[in-house]
Amino acid sequence: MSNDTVDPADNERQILERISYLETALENYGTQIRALNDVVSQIQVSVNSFSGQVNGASGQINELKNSVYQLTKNKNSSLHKVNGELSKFDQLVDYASYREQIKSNYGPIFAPIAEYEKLVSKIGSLKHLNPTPLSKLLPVNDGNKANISLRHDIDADPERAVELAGILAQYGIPGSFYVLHSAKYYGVFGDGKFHRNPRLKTWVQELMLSGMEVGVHNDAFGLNKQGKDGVKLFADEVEYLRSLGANITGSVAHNSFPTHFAENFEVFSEFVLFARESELKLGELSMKDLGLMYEGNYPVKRASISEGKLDDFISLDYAKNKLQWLKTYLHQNPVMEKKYEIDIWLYENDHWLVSDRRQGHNSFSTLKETNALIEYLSDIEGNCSIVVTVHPELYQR
Amino acid sequence: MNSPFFIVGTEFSGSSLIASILNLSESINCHIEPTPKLHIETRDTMDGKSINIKELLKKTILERVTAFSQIGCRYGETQSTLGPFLLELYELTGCKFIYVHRDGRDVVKLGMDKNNLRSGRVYRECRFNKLVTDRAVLKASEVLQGCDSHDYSRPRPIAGEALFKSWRSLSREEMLAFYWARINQIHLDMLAELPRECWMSIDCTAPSVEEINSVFEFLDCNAIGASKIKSKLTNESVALKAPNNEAGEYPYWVSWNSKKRTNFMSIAEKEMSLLRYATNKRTQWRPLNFGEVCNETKNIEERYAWIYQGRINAHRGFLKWLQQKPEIESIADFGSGIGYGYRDEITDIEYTGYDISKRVCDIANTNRKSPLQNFICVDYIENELDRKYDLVYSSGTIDNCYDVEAYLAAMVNASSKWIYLSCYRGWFPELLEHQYTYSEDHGCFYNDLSPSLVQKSLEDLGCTETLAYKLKSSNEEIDFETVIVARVN
Repeated sequence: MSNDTVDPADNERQILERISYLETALENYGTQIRALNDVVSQIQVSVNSFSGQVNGASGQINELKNSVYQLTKNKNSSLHKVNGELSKFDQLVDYASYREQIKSNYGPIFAPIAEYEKLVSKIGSLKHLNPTPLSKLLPVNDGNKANISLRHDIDADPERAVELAGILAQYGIPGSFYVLHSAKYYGVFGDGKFHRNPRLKTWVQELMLSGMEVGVHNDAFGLNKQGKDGVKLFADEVEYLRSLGANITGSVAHNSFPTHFAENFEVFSEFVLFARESELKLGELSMKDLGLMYEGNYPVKRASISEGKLDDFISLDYAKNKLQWLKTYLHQNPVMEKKYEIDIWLYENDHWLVSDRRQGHNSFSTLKETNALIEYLSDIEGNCSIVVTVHPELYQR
Repeated sequence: MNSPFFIVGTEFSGSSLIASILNLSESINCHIEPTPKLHIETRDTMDGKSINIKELLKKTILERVTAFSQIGCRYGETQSTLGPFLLELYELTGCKFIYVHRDGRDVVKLGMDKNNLRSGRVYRECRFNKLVTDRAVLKASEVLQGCDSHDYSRPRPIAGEALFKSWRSLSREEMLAFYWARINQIHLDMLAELPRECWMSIDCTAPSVEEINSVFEFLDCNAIGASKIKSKLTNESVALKAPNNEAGEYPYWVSWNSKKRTNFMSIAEKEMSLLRYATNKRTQWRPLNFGEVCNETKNIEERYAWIYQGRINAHRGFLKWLQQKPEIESIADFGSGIGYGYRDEITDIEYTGYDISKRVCDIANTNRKSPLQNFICVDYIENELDRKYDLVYSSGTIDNCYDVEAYLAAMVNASSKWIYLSCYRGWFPELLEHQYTYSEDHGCFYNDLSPSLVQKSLEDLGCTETLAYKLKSSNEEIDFETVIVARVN
């Protein structure tokens, strides 16, 4: 047998060895494949888990998106845009900061709004009281009842005013609300023009929907002092508010005597209290011409004016001695009287000033909380007229 | 002399319609809300203020009853303010009462339309006035508080009641829901105290000629012809389904979103159940003709093939997910249709399709590909299943259901391990509420679901691992579908 000759037995053994080797290799590969399969499986589990986490994160992202959406919506709703542009008012006034400022300014002296609701519900249940819009305060037709008007001078917070109107509506009690046309919330001057707050329409319409009487808180002379034509601006705003659908039949004057030596209602020829030299345009307007039926102070000229008392009044510093000033203004006013008999004025911290000018009473008192006022109102007999004056910003939650 | 009768109930319930039909009879003289209407007195009585009711009734209603009794006709009047006075009115007159009621959701809609489009004087303390038209604002400004006894007459919660403190922050819809519930509750309480023969009730949601005729019978009057009644019902339709397309109109309740639905039921659920408008919480939002289209479908096989192929990505996504869940040995498919696709793909584990169409289920059972497959006709929202499945699956059906919350609850109730659902109408992460749109013609809803609200609902139902994610749609018109997965504990 040559060396080249292959022993078939060897050949078979080699083949068997080869097969055995391949089988072992296959087994090893199988093991590795199974191991790899396990790895793949584990990776798959991880991928699934990761996918779950991604989806979970996706859910959280959705929530975040929703929150951002809400925040954006809220932010946008606090800004007013005209044709996609920020209104001129919002360009000139940071209204959100204004709101914060009001809250902060009145924070130390506010009364809880629940006290207002308590007062309103009580007025609704006292049968000898006849709640009436300020325009209808006089005359008192039912001798057994006292006409009572709730006057709201909106010096600073129209949103609170709307809230108070809602309370009145719930109890079916009329109220009269006067928007201050010189207030920052109402509008501002810029580029030589007056730019009204675009929110004004909503507030006025909400007051109308609540069934409240709407009027103008007249500050014609205040604007004059700022170098504007306050008289014209007042007349313009009466017309503007009417254009919103408000039935403007009257105004109430923003207190101005100590600063202007004139009450704002003296812009009306019907109500100039006494003749004097003045830069202001006293008597420039006619209520009749403006279609106004009442001035909510129901002022009456005094037959004579004591110069001494007048000097005392003027010299009183409102900022330093607010209470004394209000007492003089409401109860010992040297320049005017009022047609109605009782003034009730929300002062600070739920304290009420009461000027009772009924025949045989003539008293000025401070009632220290709403309960005391309710007691006072409960004891009033009929056949008189009462005005309760409230500045809505003095109520907070 | 015949005793007088009074048609009583809430505003917007259809009492004027009943009165106008009764007036077709020569022997009846029915007045619609004659004055004085006792607006102030009804509110004061509801508020617990002391009133001499009998004296009040003698000076007002009895005077006009006496005056008209001279004429010879039977006197009647409609009045929505009499609820608190029914007992005294009966004692004084021996009268009969026709208590008219209507689905509270209709009353809310009509009240909203009255306020927003016409008067602006429905619950005037409400601060939600964006929908009020300028016309209504102007109308409202004509009537100041103190002169608006009508709005005053509507009930408000009194101190100590659950809604008292939050009242002014409620929407007008919620206030109207309160109105409807409170006034009906007062009527039901009062009528329960009266002899049964002195009153009848009629549901004016969709009254039939027979029901109207029963009022004549109750009053011992000869019925008028059916054609006359039909004509009146047509002319003064009380149905709300056909909108009059007035701009700013408040939607019919089938199109209320999930928030409106929840708000309404949270206030009026008890009375809705008492008056049988919502006896079953699961089906309280199901319109009468819901699902009719399912029974009319033609070329079913072809139609389902088209639906399946149109959403192939969603089906593949689900089957892939299913492959990774070996613990799932039984599946319930809600809204399975004929099981198109799945009858071929899921053959080795138990697969039960549920559908509200019997015809569809019959076809599905005929064509099943495995003995482990079965198709059952049932409204699975209304009827709790008598067993649980490892997985409850639903593909593109919740988009057309009548109540998403009830649908999710039904899925969770029927599952022991997982729920998986997909929504074909899209991915709406910006939605905070589910938006419902009902198609009368199709007999089904088209819902856009809020993924975050679905997740919250599932978590409230006790689910964990809730996922809501978008999936690329196979439909060119829709970018993404919504997929929801949750583990049921």
